[in-house]
Amino acid sequence: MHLLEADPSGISKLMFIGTLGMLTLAVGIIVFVIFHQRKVIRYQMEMKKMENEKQQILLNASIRFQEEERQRIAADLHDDAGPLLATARLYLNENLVNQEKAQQLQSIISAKQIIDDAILLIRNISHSLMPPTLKNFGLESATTDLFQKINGSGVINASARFHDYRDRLKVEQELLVFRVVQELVNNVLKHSNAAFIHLTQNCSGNNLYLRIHHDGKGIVQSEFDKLNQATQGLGLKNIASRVNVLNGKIFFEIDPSQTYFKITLEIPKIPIV
Amino acid sequence: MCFYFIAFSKSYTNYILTLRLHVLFEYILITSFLYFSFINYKIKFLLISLLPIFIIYYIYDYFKNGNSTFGNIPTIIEFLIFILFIIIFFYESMQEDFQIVLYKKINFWLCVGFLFYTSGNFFYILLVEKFFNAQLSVKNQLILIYSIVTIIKNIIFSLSFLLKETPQITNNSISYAPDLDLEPTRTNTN
Repeated sequence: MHLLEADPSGISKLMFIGTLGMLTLAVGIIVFVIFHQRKVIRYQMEMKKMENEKQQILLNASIRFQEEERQRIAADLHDDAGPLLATARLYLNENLVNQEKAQQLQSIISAKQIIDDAILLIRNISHSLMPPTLKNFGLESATTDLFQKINGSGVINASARFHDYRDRLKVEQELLVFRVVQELVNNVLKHSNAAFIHLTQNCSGNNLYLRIHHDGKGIVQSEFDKLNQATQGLGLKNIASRVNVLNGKIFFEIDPSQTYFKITLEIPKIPIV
Repeated sequence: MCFYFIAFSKSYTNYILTLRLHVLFEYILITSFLYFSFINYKIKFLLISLLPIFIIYYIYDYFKNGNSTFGNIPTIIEFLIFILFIIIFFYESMQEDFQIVLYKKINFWLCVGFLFYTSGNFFYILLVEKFFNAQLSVKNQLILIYSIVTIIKNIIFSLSFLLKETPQITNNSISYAPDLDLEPTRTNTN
């Protein structure tokens, strides 16, 4: 007040200091906002880097899984189909024509039996690679079939319900989704000790949703993320990498009632042309 | 500016009236800009609610003081409102799960320009009437401060329009479809 009642030069000084103070304050606020944003961006860049590393782990896991799958098929063919066919060949050697008729017949029957076994074995290998129900009748039939088989074992109460699956997905997409479901169900059967497992399907907009409920020991999203970062264990990494290929999302959670676990899959639909 | 010069040439009353209209126009313009910049509806509502209150107060001030003053007190209130809302805008933008970096947004730099303008001219508007009878050299100093602040504001405005808003971060949340939960156990009411 003293300054305001003084001469104009005093007021001028006050105005100059006041303006400078206000401008400093404004600059301070702006600098704070910008630096805060830069800090947030740096943090997000680090997160992105971690995400890339995670992707790399998933890719490696996927490659390793493919190799293991090939080795398994090779082992199946070499150890099972190979000896079977070799045995059949032994029965059908050149000496067969010199043998008695009864012995010839016995050898042919044995060889036929072995060849039938080999056919069955190859069919099983082929089915494990591409389930015929999935190829011919689609995801709904293959999944329902899978759950019926599990239920039929009597170990666990399993059921699947598709609410809205009028339009089939692209074959490659269906196979990937089926593999994810298979892996999830396998995990539940192996680790959760659940009494029931239930799958529900629905659609919303351009997305397909699948949710698996089970009442066993499960995991939540944070545990899934943690296990995904770990170098050991292929199952969950395979799920994550397949979901990634599908451009989808997967979410693990526990029901608020704490009585059962939920695993939700969100997949953008690519219909068959 | 042309409007100002026409008013200058006519009379002092027109000059005061033009200044008052300028403040009113400025308030409505900046309020509209801030209204569309905010996301929070409560803040939007508060901002728009202040508009008629300010206009009524401004008209009241005009009828009370007439042409004796250009209305520096309402202008100071206007500046305080804008400084407050600009700070709220910065806070809201910092909280937001942003797709575009804040300092790459046109709105941010426009707000920076307004903040410079309001804070830089705050004391000038507050004390301007004390300088009516001051020497020419003091008046020139005032005009210099006002001009520098206004030029900085205009440079910030011009540069802000050169910015390209490019998205940076994508949202990764899962949206659930309805009807996926377990069917509730039906209880027999009969």
